[in-house]
Amino acid sequence: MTFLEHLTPSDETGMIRDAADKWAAGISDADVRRSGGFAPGRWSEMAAMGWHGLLADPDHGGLGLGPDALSLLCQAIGRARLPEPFVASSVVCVGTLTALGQDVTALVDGSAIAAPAGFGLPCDGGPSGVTATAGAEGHNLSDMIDICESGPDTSEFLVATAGGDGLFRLPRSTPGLTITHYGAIDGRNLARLSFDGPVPADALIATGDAARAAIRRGTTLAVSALAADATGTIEKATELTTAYLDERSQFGKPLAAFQSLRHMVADLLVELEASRSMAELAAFAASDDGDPKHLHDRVRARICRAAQSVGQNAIQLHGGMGMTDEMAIGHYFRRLIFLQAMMGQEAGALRDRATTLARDIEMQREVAQ
Amino acid sequence: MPEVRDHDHGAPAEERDHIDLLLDDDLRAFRRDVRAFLRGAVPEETRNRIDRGYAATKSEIADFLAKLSARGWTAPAWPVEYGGTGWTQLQRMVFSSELARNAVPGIPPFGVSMIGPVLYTFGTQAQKDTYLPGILSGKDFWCQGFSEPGSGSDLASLRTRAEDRGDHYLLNGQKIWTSKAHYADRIFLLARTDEAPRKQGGISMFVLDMDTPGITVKPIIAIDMNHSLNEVFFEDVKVPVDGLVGERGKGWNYAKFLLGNERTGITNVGRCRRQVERLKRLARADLTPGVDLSKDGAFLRDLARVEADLTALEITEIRILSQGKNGPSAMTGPSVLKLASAQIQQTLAELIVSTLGLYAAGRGAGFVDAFDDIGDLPSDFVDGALNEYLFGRSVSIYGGTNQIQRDILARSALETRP
Repeated sequence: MTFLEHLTPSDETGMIRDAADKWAAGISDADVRRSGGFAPGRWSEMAAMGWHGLLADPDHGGLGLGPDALSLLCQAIGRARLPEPFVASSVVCVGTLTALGQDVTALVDGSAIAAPAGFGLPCDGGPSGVTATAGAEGHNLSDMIDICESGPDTSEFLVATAGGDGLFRLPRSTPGLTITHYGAIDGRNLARLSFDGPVPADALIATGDAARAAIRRGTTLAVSALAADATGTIEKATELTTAYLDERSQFGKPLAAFQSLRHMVADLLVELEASRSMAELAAFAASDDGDPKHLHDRVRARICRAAQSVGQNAIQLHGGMGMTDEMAIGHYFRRLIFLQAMMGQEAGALRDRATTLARDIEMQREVAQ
Repeated sequence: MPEVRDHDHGAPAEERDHIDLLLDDDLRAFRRDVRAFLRGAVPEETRNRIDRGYAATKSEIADFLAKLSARGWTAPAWPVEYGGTGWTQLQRMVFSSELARNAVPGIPPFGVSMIGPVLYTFGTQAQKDTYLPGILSGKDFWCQGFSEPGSGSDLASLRTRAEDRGDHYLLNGQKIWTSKAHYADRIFLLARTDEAPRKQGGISMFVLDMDTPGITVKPIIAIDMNHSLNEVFFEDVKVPVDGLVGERGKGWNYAKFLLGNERTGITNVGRCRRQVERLKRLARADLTPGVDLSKDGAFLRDLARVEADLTALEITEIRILSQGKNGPSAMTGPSVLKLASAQIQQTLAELIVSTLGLYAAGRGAGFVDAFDDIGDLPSDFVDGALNEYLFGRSVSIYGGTNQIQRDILARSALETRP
């Protein structure tokens, strides 16, 4: 597939987008506020539309679609700022497990929810390093994972060991697994996991290259989904801001009549278009099994900056009202902060890219000599 | 002076051409053809000079246009019936990207991108017959008479007057910032023909020959200390009636049509990618003894950031060109591109100058002659970078300043009118 073909959605993908837009548009700000970190009803509705199985094979009840459709769906989720762990469970875990041929039926039908730990979210893996040592009755896991997108409804965990050479699939009830719940900045559920002791032998579902490839697939899908989610969030934040400027008056005229504010709006639009472009690139680059790191590092960096800039300026343009919990804009701002953390922040993405660039320059130096 | 290496020599394939990802096999083959043709058509010495940041001379441009024209490639975007190539949007993008990447002389926009499309869209048959062949062959150089001393961003306030004298219009007034007027054969311009309630009304567009009696060209030396800009004075210049383009009083509409084309054409993505390569080249040039930029976190971070910006710009351009449902609208697209592109071009030039260290203090032929090389770079590599930096300040000014572009964008997103 060429990029141009990618830009023209297939009928199937277009249907996903239309359905997602329609569904998300029916969810009000009040609905989202009421539901806290997780609304079982919404999760079931998503299951009924087949979205948890978007990436899964038809054998496991999935739709067998790819990152294109995923991207459109995640944009709708971002626009509605839904707190459910869709990216965690239905993208990263279903994507990783599908790459390994594992059964994902329960995840697809919505009766189970999985959380990736030590990979995928945040998409640079985060600071945790779980170690596994072989024991008499399986592996002994130890150490902590500080951030895992999971709540009381999470039924299983997909745990990567440090270095990515092992992948464990652990039910919530696994002995020695301690889950400490805490809240995310944007209202969703997070947890800190600690491992201490042996896990059953069949919990280890992949090792070595197979594990690394599956983890890479999950991470690639995560970048694409996060880029799309952030783009939808940025789009909605921009709309809320322009509507507010048209509506609110000071000095006898709408705020939108003041040129200094109009020019800030123009910059929001430039950032929004950069995000949309990067979300398209992220999805396209994820559409085969290759490693799109050289593009995805740029996607993360550029979208994080857009998220930061649009979030901050949207608050500024809302003035004092932007500082209140009452206005929706602050909730979008906080979602953008969460998404930047999951993408490893602009600084982290630039650091990753800079490492590659340094290597290129070094290679060119050797060739030139 | 040491031999200059190919600017992208040694880069890994994916880095050199990450846009490859966007191309299918046919387009890659097409690009190879274009690249081979361009490298054959323009002497290496010319390409090296342009690559280092110096403007092509008139004769270099003319030589190149003659070869392009023989191949039928001067105006790819034109409809086939007027001499276009019939290429797809993506082929055209690949072509213009290759022009920039291979550092061949730029195709002057005034004929091919600006007045040409106006003439084949709004002009008379006689105008098409008279002017289009000279544009396609590269024989005629054009210039643009829009801005005036009192009318820059507020272009519609222009005061140059064309008085209807029956068999001709009598033209009086002055234009400014007229690029290349000193060697142009023809000019297209805006002049007021009628009084109208709105200042945009009553403006008409004309085409005429630069050797018409009554036209005087005076040079403006720019901050790069070069001559490319001019003032053009019109004193009782007789413009034949068939020099009027389209309908009298509709000049403003044609100008907007033309400037929209200009904004899409000035993303300069290919040149920006060349600048990224130049930065990498500078990073291993040991310009400042004891400083290894490939290990300088701040430098690498700046480079990574602008590279990410550039990637986003490339995709935005493709989204606009593909005219997909998800692309920016025809109204906002050009302004988004122009703002993003100006920012990237200027950031790149600024980064390059900052890597020059103390050598950014020198400038000109004497400076170039005083050194064999600096670090392991020829001294004109440094001088050319300064040349580009200086004139590059204009990218956020010409074709509608950044502030005008922001006005346009805000109008698209807000109900309220200022």
